[in-house]
Amino acid sequence: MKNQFLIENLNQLAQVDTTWMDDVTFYKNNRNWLDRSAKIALKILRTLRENKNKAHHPNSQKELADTMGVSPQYINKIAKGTENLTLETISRLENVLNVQLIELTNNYLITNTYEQIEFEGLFSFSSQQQIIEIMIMSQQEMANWSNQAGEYSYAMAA
Amino acid sequence: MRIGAIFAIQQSTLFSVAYDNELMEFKRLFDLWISEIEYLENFFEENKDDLNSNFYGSISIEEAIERTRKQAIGFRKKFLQLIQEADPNKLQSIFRPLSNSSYQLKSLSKEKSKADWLRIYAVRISENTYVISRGAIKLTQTMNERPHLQAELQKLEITKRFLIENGLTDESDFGFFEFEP
Repeated sequence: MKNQFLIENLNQLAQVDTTWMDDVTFYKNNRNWLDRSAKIALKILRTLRENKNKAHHPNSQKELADTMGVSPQYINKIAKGTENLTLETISRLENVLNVQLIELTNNYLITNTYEQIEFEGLFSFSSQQQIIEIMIMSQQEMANWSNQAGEYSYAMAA
Repeated sequence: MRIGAIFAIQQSTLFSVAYDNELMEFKRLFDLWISEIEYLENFFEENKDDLNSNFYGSISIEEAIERTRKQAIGFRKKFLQLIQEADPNKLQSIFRPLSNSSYQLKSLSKEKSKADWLRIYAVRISENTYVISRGAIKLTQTMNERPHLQAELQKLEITKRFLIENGLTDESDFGFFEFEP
């Protein structure tokens, strides 16, 4: 092997780092919410930039933090796109920024006609906005609803 | 900027430098490309003219970021597979020489117009041994067109000097390489 001395030297100097392998495993196990978190972060950042161009409020992470009553560091963590956000935080962000960050498709309802009837019977909704409102119900409400609706709670929380 | 430390991704075959007090480059790059949406949004906003040039076609910033993350995730997975296969010969199949064509202007017809813009740059010191110096998002045809790409060439030189200080004597297999998907 050429440069044997250098390679042995590097083997001695170098610290073995396998943390990037842990990152691969972490991503594999958490892919769904990580990808969503990244998309939410991007939507927030693009909205702030658009607000800045139009001189609307809030137009910076600092202003967003102040309006929400949270620390700028927390907003900065969200903007990285790796924060596991609660529905409550998402809703607050949506209200302050006046944008929709998550959206439920109608696929679930369309492909589960029978369940749709039951589901509609329970909540009598007619628009996506109302679905979002159902999603931010309290834990107790969710537990009660879960008991009635069985597996649908999983579909809503996903 | 100086090399503060060196890390082994796989002993004897793949190393990565770390500058000053930063993370090792190999990990830092994937963190940037996958987990730093703010960085990506700023980068593509600053380079949106390149993004909208005919080289890659017209791509929105949102789409560019999604592509970058997807590409980087696949990229990292590919490295993991190669490391786990523990076949040092495989490594040389993914790095290609950073030829003059990477610095010089090529006609559009010769350049693949695909949105695979992530690059990892490395110095080869032996047939199957590479030292990663840095990486970049390459939106232009050549490296000389943008300061952030010119900086990559300087990092390769800094890495070369570091290797000479630590015993690089035989330059017959030596060269600057890049890894692109």
